[in-house]
Amino acid sequence: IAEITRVKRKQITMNSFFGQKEEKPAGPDPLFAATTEMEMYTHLFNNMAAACFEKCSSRKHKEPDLALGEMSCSDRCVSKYLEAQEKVGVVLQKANEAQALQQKNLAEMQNALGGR
Amino acid sequence: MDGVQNLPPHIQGQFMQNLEQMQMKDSLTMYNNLVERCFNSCVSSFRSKSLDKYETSCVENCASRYIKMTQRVGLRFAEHQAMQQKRAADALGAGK
Repeated sequence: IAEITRVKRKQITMNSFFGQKEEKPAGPDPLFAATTEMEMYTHLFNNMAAACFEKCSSRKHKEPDLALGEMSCSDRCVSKYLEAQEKVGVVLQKANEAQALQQKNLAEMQNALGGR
Repeated sequence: MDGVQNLPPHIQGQFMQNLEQMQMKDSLTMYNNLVERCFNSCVSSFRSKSLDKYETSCVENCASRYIKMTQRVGLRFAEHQAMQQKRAADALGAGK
């Protein structure tokens, strides 16, 4: 299941640019796809590091090193963040599908009305 | 990271160049964000023009801790990615 959600997550990131269902875009510029994928991972990493720093380290900054509790907190923060990302990806995927279905129905309705 | 691996070789060079540019931009952005974060968290009074001893050590500690935490987060992230890729490879192998 984790693998499926991972594939779907990629589809979501790719869908918004290409509207395709394939994971590897053969038609549109693959350089753009790879660059965009890299950017996505960069943003993911930056946001994750910022969020975990905010949530896990104390404000006092008395020491230059991380405490043991902060280190284990950041480990758990990473895995929770990635799990949350997968779940959000699933929700987004469902919303995309529902919207596509709705648009298809609308188009069919319009065709039926126009055909008379 | 499939999109990266599936690039044809002549585009890979261009991609590496883009990657270098992105990394340069990203490290500058990180620097700015780090300064803002540590300033917001450490400096609250404006009685003098320069940072006092407490604020200086706080800012330095904040920066060093953020960098250490970023490194640790990167490590865990890479582990997670590796595990996912292994799971994907296993699933692919099992599917055959």
